[in-house]
Amino acid sequence: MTTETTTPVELAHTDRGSGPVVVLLHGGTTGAAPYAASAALLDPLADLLATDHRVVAVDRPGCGASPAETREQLGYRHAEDVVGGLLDRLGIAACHLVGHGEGGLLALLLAQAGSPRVTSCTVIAGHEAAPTGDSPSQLRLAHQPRPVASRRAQAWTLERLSYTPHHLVDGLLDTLAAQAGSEAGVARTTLAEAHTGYLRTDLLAAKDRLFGFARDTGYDVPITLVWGTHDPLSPVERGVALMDLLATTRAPLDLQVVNRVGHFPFRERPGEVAELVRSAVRLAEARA
Amino acid sequence: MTALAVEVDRMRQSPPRYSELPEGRWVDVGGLRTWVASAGTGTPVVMVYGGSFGGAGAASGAYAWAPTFHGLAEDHRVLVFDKPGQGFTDKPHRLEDYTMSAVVQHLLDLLDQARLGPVHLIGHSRGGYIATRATLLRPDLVSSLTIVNSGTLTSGVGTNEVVLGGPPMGPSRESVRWVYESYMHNTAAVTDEFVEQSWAVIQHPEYQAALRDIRENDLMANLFLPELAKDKRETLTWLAEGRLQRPTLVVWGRDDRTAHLSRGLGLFEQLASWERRTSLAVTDKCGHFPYREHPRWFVERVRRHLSEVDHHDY
Repeated sequence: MTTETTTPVELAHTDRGSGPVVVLLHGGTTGAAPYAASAALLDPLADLLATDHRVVAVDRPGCGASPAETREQLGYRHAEDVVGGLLDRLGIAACHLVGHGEGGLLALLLAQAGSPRVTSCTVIAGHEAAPTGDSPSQLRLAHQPRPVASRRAQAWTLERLSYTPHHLVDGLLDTLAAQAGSEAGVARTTLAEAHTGYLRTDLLAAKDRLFGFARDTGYDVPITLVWGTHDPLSPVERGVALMDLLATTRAPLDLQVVNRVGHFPFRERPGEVAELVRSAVRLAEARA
Repeated sequence: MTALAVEVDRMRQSPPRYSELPEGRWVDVGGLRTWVASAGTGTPVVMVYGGSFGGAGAASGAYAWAPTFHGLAEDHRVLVFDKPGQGFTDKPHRLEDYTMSAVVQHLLDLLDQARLGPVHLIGHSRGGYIATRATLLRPDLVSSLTIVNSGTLTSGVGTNEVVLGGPPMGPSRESVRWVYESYMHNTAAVTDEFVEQSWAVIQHPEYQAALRDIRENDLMANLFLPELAKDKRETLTWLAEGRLQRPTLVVWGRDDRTAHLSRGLGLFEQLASWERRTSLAVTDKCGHFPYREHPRWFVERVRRHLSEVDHHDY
C-alpha cells in the first residue's frame, strides 16, 4: 500500500489495483470523536475490491493524513472540491463512488456532477445522507471514555457501533489511537472543537443540497444503498426513507440490507459488502 | 385403448412450448402430467411462479421466469415447471385438490422425484408462499430460499383485489395486458411475446377445463381461499417461531401496488431475527415483477445469494 501526498491541495490517498476505478470515501468526522476517521477503516473492503478494480481510498480533509487548516477546510464544499481535484490530477475521467457514513453524503454530493465523471454511487450506512426528521439525540455514544484519543475510547466507540466486535483488530486500534494522539490529530481536534456550531450548520447545508437536488432535479447515475440491520446511527427505515427521497433518480436505484451488522458492514462482513459493491459496479458498467 | 395405454399415449404427445423457454418435457408427478423444462449445470435451482389456477383474464406459466432461467442457467442446473391447473400441466383430478396445499404437495413430489438433492427454491408472489411452505414441510429438499414480492406470505391487508378487481374487458389479449400492466411499474416489460404466452395458456383446453371446474363448483370462494387462509395462518405462525431455517433472500419491487414494500420489510425483519443468512434487496421503479422489470439486476442479486450459500458451509 502506498500513500502519496500531492500538492497544491493535499489529500492523502492510497491507489491500488487495476480495473474500473472505485473511489472510497470514509465516514466519521475530523478529530477523535466519536472515532478517529480515516481511509484505514475501509482497508478490508479496499483490499477485496483491489483484486479487480483500481481502488483510490481518500483520507477526507482533516482526517487521517490529510490536513485542514481552517474551519472551511472541514466543510463539505471543500471536500467536494479537493476530491474532484484529486481525480483530475490522477487523470480519472470516470469512477464509481463508494461512501460510508458522512462519506456517503459526500459521495451523493459529488454524484450530482453525473456522468461521465461518476458512473455509479454506492452509499454504505449513510446515516448523514438519510432524512431523520428532528435531529435525533445520540444516546448510544453519550458516555465515551476519556481521553477520546485513547485506544480504549476508540475501541469503546467502534464496539458500540458494531453488531459484534470481531473486526476490531489490534492494528486498526493502534492506527486510530496514533492518528488521534498525533500532533496533527490533536491540532485538528482542537480546530473542530472550536467550530462545532459552524460544522453542524455546514452539515445541515450539505443535507439541504442533497435533499433539494433529489427533490427538484434527480440523479442520473445508478445508486445503491447498503444498510445494516443493527446500525445504531441509522435504522433500516432511514435507508428506506433515503430510497424514497432518491426515487427521482432516472437511473437504477436499489437498497441492499445486510443482516446482523452495525455501522461498519464492510468491516463486519467485508466479503458480502465487497460483492454488493462489485455487483453495483458491474451493472453500472454494463449500462454505461 | 386401456386407461394405462391412454396415459402412456398422453405422455408421448409432444409438449406445447413457451416461445421464451427451451422445449419442455412431460413428467408424471403424482398422476398429473406436468410440464417441465431445464437447462444448465451446477447446483440445482427450481422456480415457482405466482398466480393460481382460476384466472380467466390472465394466466401465468413457467414462461414468466424466462430471463431468470436463461441468466442462472449459465452456472446452475435450472428447472421450471407448471403448477397443477396452471400453464400446460394437468388440472387436479379431484375437485378437493383445488387447494394450495395440493399445489405445495405437487412441488414436493416433483422435487422428491427429480432427485436433484437440496435445491435453491425461488418463489414469486403466491409462488413465494408455495416455496416457503415447501421448505417448512421438507427442509431436507431445500438449500436456500428466495422470496419475491409475496403478499401471500405476509400479513396485512392485501391490495391485490383492489388493483386487479373488475377488469374493464373480458378474457382476451387485452385483459392479459391490462392485468400485467397493473402489476408492473415498468410496463415496457409487458411485451407482445409475454402477452402471447399468457394467452396461449388461457386458450389451452386443460386450463379451460380447470376454469370450468372452479366456476361450476364455486371452488375459489368455497374451497381454495378459505383453505389457504387456514394454511397461511399456520405458516405465518411457523415463521414467527423461527422454523424457516434456510438462508433466505427477500426481493421486493418498491412500487408494487399489490404487495406494498412495508410487507416485504416486515417479512425480512421477522426472518432476519431468526436466520443470520437473511438478506433484503429492494429495487426502485419496479412493481410486482422484479425478475421481468429489472431482469439483469435480479439475476445478479440472486446469483450472489446462491453463490454465498454454495460456497460457505457454517
